[in-house]
Order: sequence, then structure tokens, then C-alpha cells
Amino acid sequence: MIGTTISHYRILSTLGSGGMGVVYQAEDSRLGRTVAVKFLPESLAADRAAIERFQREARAVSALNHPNICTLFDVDRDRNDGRPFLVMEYLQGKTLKEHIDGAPLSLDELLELAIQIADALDAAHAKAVVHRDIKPANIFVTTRGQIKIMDFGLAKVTEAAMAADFGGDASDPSQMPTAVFDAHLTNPGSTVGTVAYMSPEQARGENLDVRTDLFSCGVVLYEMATRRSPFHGNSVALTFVGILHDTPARPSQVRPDLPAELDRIIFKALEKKRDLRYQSAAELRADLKRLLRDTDSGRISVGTEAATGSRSSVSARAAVRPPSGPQPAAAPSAPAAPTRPSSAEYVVTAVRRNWRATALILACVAVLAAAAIYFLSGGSAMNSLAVLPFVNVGGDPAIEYLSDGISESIINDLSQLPKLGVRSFSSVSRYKGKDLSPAAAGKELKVQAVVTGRLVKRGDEFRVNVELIDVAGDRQIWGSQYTRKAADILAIQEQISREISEKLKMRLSGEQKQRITRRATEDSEAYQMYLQGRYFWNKRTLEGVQQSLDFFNQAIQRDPRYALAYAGQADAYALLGDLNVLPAREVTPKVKAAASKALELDDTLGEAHTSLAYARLHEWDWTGAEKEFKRAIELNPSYPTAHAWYGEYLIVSGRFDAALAEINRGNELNPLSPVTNLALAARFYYARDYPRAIEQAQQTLAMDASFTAARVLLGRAWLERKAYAQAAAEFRKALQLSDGDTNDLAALGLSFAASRQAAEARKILDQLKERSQQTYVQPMWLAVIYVALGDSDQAFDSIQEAYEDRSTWLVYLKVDPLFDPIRQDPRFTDLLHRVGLN
Amino acid sequence: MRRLRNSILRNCILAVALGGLPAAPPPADGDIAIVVRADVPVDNLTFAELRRVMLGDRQFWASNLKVTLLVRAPGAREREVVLKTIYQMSEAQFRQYWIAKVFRAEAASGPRIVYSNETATELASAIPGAIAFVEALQAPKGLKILKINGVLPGDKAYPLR
Repeated sequence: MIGTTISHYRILSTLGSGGMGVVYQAEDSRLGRTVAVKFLPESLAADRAAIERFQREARAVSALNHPNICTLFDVDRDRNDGRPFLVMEYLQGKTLKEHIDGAPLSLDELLELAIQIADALDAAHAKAVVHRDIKPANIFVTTRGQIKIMDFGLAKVTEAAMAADFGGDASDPSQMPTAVFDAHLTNPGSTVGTVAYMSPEQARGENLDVRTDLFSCGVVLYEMATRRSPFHGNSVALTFVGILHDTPARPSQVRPDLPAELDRIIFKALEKKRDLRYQSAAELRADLKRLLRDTDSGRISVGTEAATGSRSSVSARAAVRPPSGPQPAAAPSAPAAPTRPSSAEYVVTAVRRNWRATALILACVAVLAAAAIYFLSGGSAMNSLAVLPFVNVGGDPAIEYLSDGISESIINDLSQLPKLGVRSFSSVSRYKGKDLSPAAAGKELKVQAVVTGRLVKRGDEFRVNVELIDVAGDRQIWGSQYTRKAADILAIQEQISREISEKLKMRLSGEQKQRITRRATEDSEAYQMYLQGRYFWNKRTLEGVQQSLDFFNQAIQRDPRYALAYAGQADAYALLGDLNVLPAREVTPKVKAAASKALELDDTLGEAHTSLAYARLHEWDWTGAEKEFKRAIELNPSYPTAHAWYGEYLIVSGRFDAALAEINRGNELNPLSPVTNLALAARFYYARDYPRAIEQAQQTLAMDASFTAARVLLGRAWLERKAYAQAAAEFRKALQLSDGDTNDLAALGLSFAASRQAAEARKILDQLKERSQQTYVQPMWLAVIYVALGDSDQAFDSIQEAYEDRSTWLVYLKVDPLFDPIRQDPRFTDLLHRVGLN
Repeated sequence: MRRLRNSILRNCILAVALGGLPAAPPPADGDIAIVVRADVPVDNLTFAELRRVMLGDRQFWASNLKVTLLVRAPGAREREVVLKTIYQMSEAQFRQYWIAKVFRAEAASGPRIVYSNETATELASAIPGAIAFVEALQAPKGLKILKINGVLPGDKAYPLR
């Protein structure tokens, strides 16, 4: 057979053989691709009716287009001997049977593979195709860890042929119970291995529906979990007895590290009565996904305590999670365990004793770290990466958010990796729609590798092409294509993230691996809403914040346990305060509540700690805010907002050097972000370094000329240089760009007051007061205009009003040059004291 | 002959149905008409009442008929007139106003944005209680034009222009 050509398929080698025939690797000479060719048993070749049924069935199966179903390309017959054969997708990897026979599967892997199996069954069942022979030998695990179910529909054909041999009516399965049952008991060709996956109704030869596959799937899951069959009789007959009557041991009894919930899922799939079983693969998939999510978030307890139903405070994740950084102080009543100095404390003590040791140790650590990265990456150190915005190929505006959202989501995931600097989304978003080669973009961004992607939507499917490009060599390191239903967008993101990290050859610890692939929600619509929310939040405009809030709220409605959506909601509320849409006394409690809810659901979320830190800052809980910022950065050191907001905290505290370091860190992550660049300008401004503030604000505006906050800061720096005309010009431009925003109007009033155009300044004060009848006007704007006009009493009245509003501006009192003229006033000292700034 | 008789009859019926309409001034170019469905139990609003409706302070025409605001997207003249004369706000202020209103749960949502006069009138016809603003010359026949302070578009005292 090897070397012969059947039709246009040149047989290259034998891949395997089994009850369903022999499988060969072949080359499709027409399309030049490698395929798998499977010849069916000769017994079928003589039966014309069986062949016709087979071809009908094959046509139905070929209509199945799913990433977890082995694609059937062609069905034909050998012209020489008439044997039917199938031409299928050529797969590299091993069968699930071989996979199970290897190392025991971790719970995560088990669930991830099981979800893919259930997903494939769901897709097939939706098209009324029942597999009837689900077993590990028919399930393939590719080298990329992707499930492919093979031989869909073939069992029906062979069973029907077998029934016909026994004189039954193949078109009516109810006519063949005894024949088939007896055949299985007596036919020497049937093996225990095959029989062991049959459903009770299949064993009895009853009419079958999709639920038979779900029972078989339950058997497969049991085997994946325990590496043994639930019904393992020594003979076919005993195996049948087991399937029909026996209850196997709970998987968690066999493997105590498995959660009780997995027992429940498997046993529900193994219900003898199909009415009590899962009624659909979608139902099974949902339970598996829920378990995976709960396991990821550490809410499912495992081990013997879980198996016996007792409550355990030790979660699966917590049990393996290494101690991490500073924790909130223990409650006073908590018993203090005897402690001994940690290795870190020994180092610190040693360093204190001898400062020369510091340099030596740090140098050693640096060298070792560099060496580790170098060697772990297989000889080519790769420690910086940019994920460029994915291209929305069709330009469909409805999925525009998705092309950005996938890129941003991958950035967020990869940012969790240690020793890998990932450029932030706001940095890379500059390249959206730009005709620049990935290598050129990578050079500009100063990264070693660039990820690019193209997104195409056809019908209800998305196709995503991804490439990882080495910037120096301008060559592709890796590329892949994913075709998924719109609802599977989460899976695409996870798969891409994982494959990229693998290509980067980062040696991930268990927790890090979980973190990178952690799904915050299993509801893909909620996820898409979250992405849309972030897309609009990043615009930092009134309209953007309004839309982002709508999307975050919708995401929460879809999945009330979606922690990241609450963090997004908190951030949107925070922007309402920053943009002076509402007084902070109304906004901050909502920021805090949303952030706290996010942390209640996932206390390892750096984004949520950042939001909570923001709330604490504006509650004037200075210690609490700093603790939260540090925790956020510890958990997610690549989260740019954490650095930017902590930098702001350090500025208002007057710790300008520390602020500079933090903001620079943010800018390293976000070299092209106007927001983080403006943070640098603000640091120079509040440190009274006006020339550099002006220069930096101008650089920011070169990035985005419509960024009105940068114009206002630039104008304020011009005011301090007494360049009133330039200042007024910036404020007027901002007012025009923002369609009459109150902050920009007030800034113009400030420039009039500072340039001694008192009448003009008072006119604007009147306008602001009039506006305040309908919309919120930040009282601190009135205060600074009064200060510039030399009217201290009015200024303090406005500041008092701002104090009652808990204005977000108050945290700047200590460093804001606009208050310098009243800084010596005892009322100002009192104010600093009340805000906790003295 | 029969056709002429039918035409006269139709005109008579129309005249009776429209009541006092012949007495109303012809719509002036540039006036913005406020249109609602015929079943909205209001024919006339004072300007202050109109402001309350548009600001979301009055949210029901009647106990079972909710007001739905339809406002053109930025850039449309109808929107400029509505913001300048009724809201007396800038674009930014208008956005700020509605974000705050919804944030404080004083309104379930802001005005619905519509991108053409055709959509505005279609939605005004379809949604009970909807109120839309269109060029008076384009106001469709099937919708009721509200008077403001007792006057219709075309009148010298009409405020929306």
C-alpha cells in the first residue's frame, strides 16, 4: 500500500489501525497538503446500501466545521477493490488514550480538554450528528493541546451494517436491540475497550439520541480523572453488567486531590437513566466551565475535606500559591505563629551590616537573573514585547472594539509574566491603522518581539491570524490561525496568550501559568462588553466614560461574579471624579464599593487594588492608599494605570523623586501614551520645574493635539512663566476642542485673572456660577481664580465648598503653585491639616 | 364628476379633522417643531414646562405614558437649537448633565440619539410618549406639533429657531 496512489492521494506511511480500518498518512497531490486516509473494513465494501448510508452520513459529518472536530475532506472508493475510504485532516499529537496513559492529568488540563470535548459534541449534536463511539481512542490531543474528535458518524454506519447482517432494519434502530446486544456479547471482534464506553441504552440496543454520547463522555472523563475505567469487567458480559447496574467509585476516592464537584459532574453524565443525565453537551460544558472558573478563582476546595463535604478554607490555588509580598496586617486577635527570619530578612540584615555587600549581592542577583532569562529562553534572551493592535480586516465597525480588545486583553495577560516587559495598549494603539512594518514598529517601541494579528468576521465566525515577529531579524518566529464562533472569543484569547508565552519560552511556575490563562468570566458576551468598556474608558472623554460605564454595567449584569468588570466600573466612576463631572463625595464611595466588590471576587486583581487605592487617596487615607498601590503593582507590575496613579500619589505627597521613578516606569510601559506622558509633565509642573513641564506637555500634545488636559497643564505652566498670551491661547484651544467644557472655561478665567484682566475673569466667574445651577462646577476652579484676583476670603469660601465636596483637587493642596499666594494663611494650614497633608 | 365630488368631500373632511389648523401660521424656514404622537395628552407647553421635560425633571406625560426624549446627534442644527434655547448648555455640559443624572439614578437613561430627521419622526411615531425635534417644514402629517407658550412654528414668538 505504501507508495501507491489512490485517486489523487499518494500513500506515504501507516499511521495506525483498528476496528474501523487502517489509517495512512498521504499526500493530496492536487492541493499539495498532507492528509490522513482511512480505509473502512472490507465488510462494508460489498454492501451497496451500507456504502450509500455511509456516504450520506459522511456528507452530514463533513458539514461539521468545528475546531475540536477532525475535519472530513473527502469520501471515495478505491477504484481497484471498491473499498470506501475517508480523507481527513492530518493531525500531529497523540490520542487521548495515549495521553491518559502518560502522566496523570492536572485538574486544569482535565477540565480544559473536557470542555473542548463537550464543545465538539455540542456542535455535532446541534446538527443532529451523534457520534455513538466516544472513547479516548477516538479523541486526539494535538501537540498544541487541542482536542480533535475523530470518526463522527461512522459508528452509526457500521452499527447499521452490523444490524443488517443480523437481519434488522438499519433505518430503525429500535428494530435491532437483541441482534446488536448479542453481537456485542458474542462477536469476537468487539473488545472490552470499546464496549466499556457504551451507554446503558446502547448496550441494550435501544434507540439512541445525543445523550448516549454524553454517557460515553462521562466514561471518558472518569478515565481522564482516575486513569481507570468505571466499568472494568474481565469480560464483555461483566462490563455490560457494570454499565447497566453498577455505580463506580467516586473519582475523588481514587484521586483525593480532585474536587467533589467533579464527582458530581461525572456521575451526572453517567446516570443510567438518560432522563436524569445531562440533557445536552452544552449543559455539561457549562458545568465544566463553571468548575474551571471556580477552581481558577480558588473557590473550590479540594482534597479529602472537600470529598467528605467538610468546609475548608484552603483553596486549590491557595494551597500551591507561594507567599507573596506584604500582606495586610493581621487582625489583632489572630494568634501570632512563631516566626523566624525569612531569607529576605537575613539578606536585609546582612546588607545593613555591610553596605559593600549590597552592591555585591545586587550585582550577583542581576547577573544571575540575566543568565536565568537567557538560558531559560533557550539561548536567546527575549524580555520585551509589544502586541500591536489587531487589524480589523473587513473594517466592520461592529467588531472594531474586538480587534482592540483582543490585543489589549493579550497585553494584560502577558503583562502578568515576570521578566517580560510588555508595552501597554495605549503605547501600541498609536500604530492602529498605520502602514508600518511590525519590525519598524518594534524598533520604535524598543522591543525584541512584536505580535501582530488580523481579525476577520464571516457570518457568526471569527478568524484570527496571529504572528510573533523577531524585530532584529524581521522574521516570523511563530504564526497561527484560529477560527472560532463569536461566542468562543475567550478561547481564542487564552490560546493565543499561551502559545505566545510558550514561544517566548518563559518557564512558568504553576501559579504564573494559571494567571496568564485565567479567565475572569466564562460568559463570552460579558467579556466582550468588558472589552468594549475598556475601549471607551481609554478615550478619557466625557462621552467615552459614559459609554464605558454602560458596557461595564452590562458585563456585570451578564456575569455578576466578573471581578474585572467591577474594577472597570470603579475606574469609570473614578474618571467621573477626575473629569469633574460630579463631586468626589458622590463618586468616591461608588469607586470604593465597586473596587471592593472586585476584590471580594478576586483579591489578586491588580486592577482592583489600583481602583481601591484611588478611592482611599480621595478619602484622604494616605497610608491605606499607598498600601493598595503597592499591592497593585506587586500583583501586576505591568499595569500602567497603577504606576500612573501611584505616581500621582507621590507627587501630591511631595515625594517628587519617587514620583519621577514611578512615572518613568509607567512611561517605559507606555512610551507613546499621552496620559503617562502628561503625568511626567505634571511631575515637573508641581516640582516647579516649568521649562521641563512645558517641554513635556508639548511633547504630549505632539502625540495627541486634541488632548485637552495637556493643553490646560501647558497653559498653567505658561502662567507660572508669566507668559499670559500663550497660556490663554492654550486654554481657548482646549475650550474649543472640548465643546465648551467647564474646566477649560474656568482655566481661561484663571488666565484672565492672572494677567490682571479682572473684568474678564469676573465675567467667567459669573458664567461658572450660572453653570453650577445645572451641572457640577469644581469649586477649586473658582478658588484659584479668586486667589489670582487677590480675593483670599472668596477663595477660602470656595475651598471650603470644595472641602465639603471632598474635591479630588484637594489632595494637590500641598504642591499646587496656584495656592502659593495664600499658603501662609492660617486657614490654609488648617486646611492642609484637615486633608491630612501636613 | 364623481372624482371631483370625492375630492371636495375629502378636503372637507380634512378641514374638519384639522380644526383650527388653517388659522395657524405657515411653518417658517428654520423653526424647529416639537413633534409627538397624537395620543400624547398635551397640545401646549410653557417654555418652563418644556425645559422640565427636556431636563428629565418631568418624565411622564400621564401616569402611564413615559416621556422618551429623542435628540439629534452632534452636528445637526436641530440639536444646536435645542441645546442653545432649551438646555442652555454647551455640548460638554449637556453630556455632563446627563451622565450625572443617570449616575444619581434621577433618570434611567439620557436622551436617545437619532441620526436623521426621518429616524426621529419614525421613532416618534413608533414609541408612545416620544418627543422629537425636526425642521418645521419637514414635520410629518401623522404627528402632533406641540405649541410652546401657545404658539406654533411660524409664529414670531415661537422660541425654537
